[in-house]
Amino acid sequence: MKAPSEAFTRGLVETAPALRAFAISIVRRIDRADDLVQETMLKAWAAHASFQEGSNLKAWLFTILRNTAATQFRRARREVEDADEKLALALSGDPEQHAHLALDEMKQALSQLPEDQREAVLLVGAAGFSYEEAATICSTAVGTIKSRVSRARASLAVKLSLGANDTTN
Amino acid sequence: MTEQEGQKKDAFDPSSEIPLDPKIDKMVGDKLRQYFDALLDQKVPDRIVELLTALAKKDLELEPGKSE
Repeated sequence: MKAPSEAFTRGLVETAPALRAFAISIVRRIDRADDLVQETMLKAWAAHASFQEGSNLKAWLFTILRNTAATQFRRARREVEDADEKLALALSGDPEQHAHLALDEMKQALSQLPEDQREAVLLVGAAGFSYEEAATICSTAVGTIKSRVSRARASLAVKLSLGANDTTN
Repeated sequence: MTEQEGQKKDAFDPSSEIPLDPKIDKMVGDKLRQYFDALLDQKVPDRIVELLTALAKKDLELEPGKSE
């Protein structure tokens, strides 16, 4: 078996924090998010031969993570109830109370979005992917991602009391 | 599905976009990035760092001359 390139291995290390941030945001349980990142790393390493050098490693890793999460969601949908409490505990180490409240507010608002809107707005609005890259990661059309992001942002504006009317439901 | 139907499905329908005041849109974006940045700043757990270290080591075992 040929070893992955140094760039590939370095890419895994560099992308780990972003993968973990996305994982926490979509599964809302720190322990499960860390399991998900670990599983993603192992799958990526095992499948490195199928990765085309020079293409977008970050998007490739996010695709693996998202697909792995989708499988896990189907297995563990019932265990989501205590997720918000555990995430709040994980974020409580923030020394700045004001910042913590802002994070808590966004966490709550995100948790109320439909899953497809949440992942779309996180990929495009937070993780820095283009609409095209997000569409590839989510295996859907670019137009669908644009629509999901637009609805998610409008919904977040309402949930965060930023002065917009909720027309998303 | 024909190619034409596929292209039609892929086309962005502006009616599905919800117009948002640019100032509010910026505030949402700022808050979203602030939230994500705070998660990015969290320390990656030791078990993930150890896994990555192990993978890098395995990488070198597969190709011993790689680090030289």
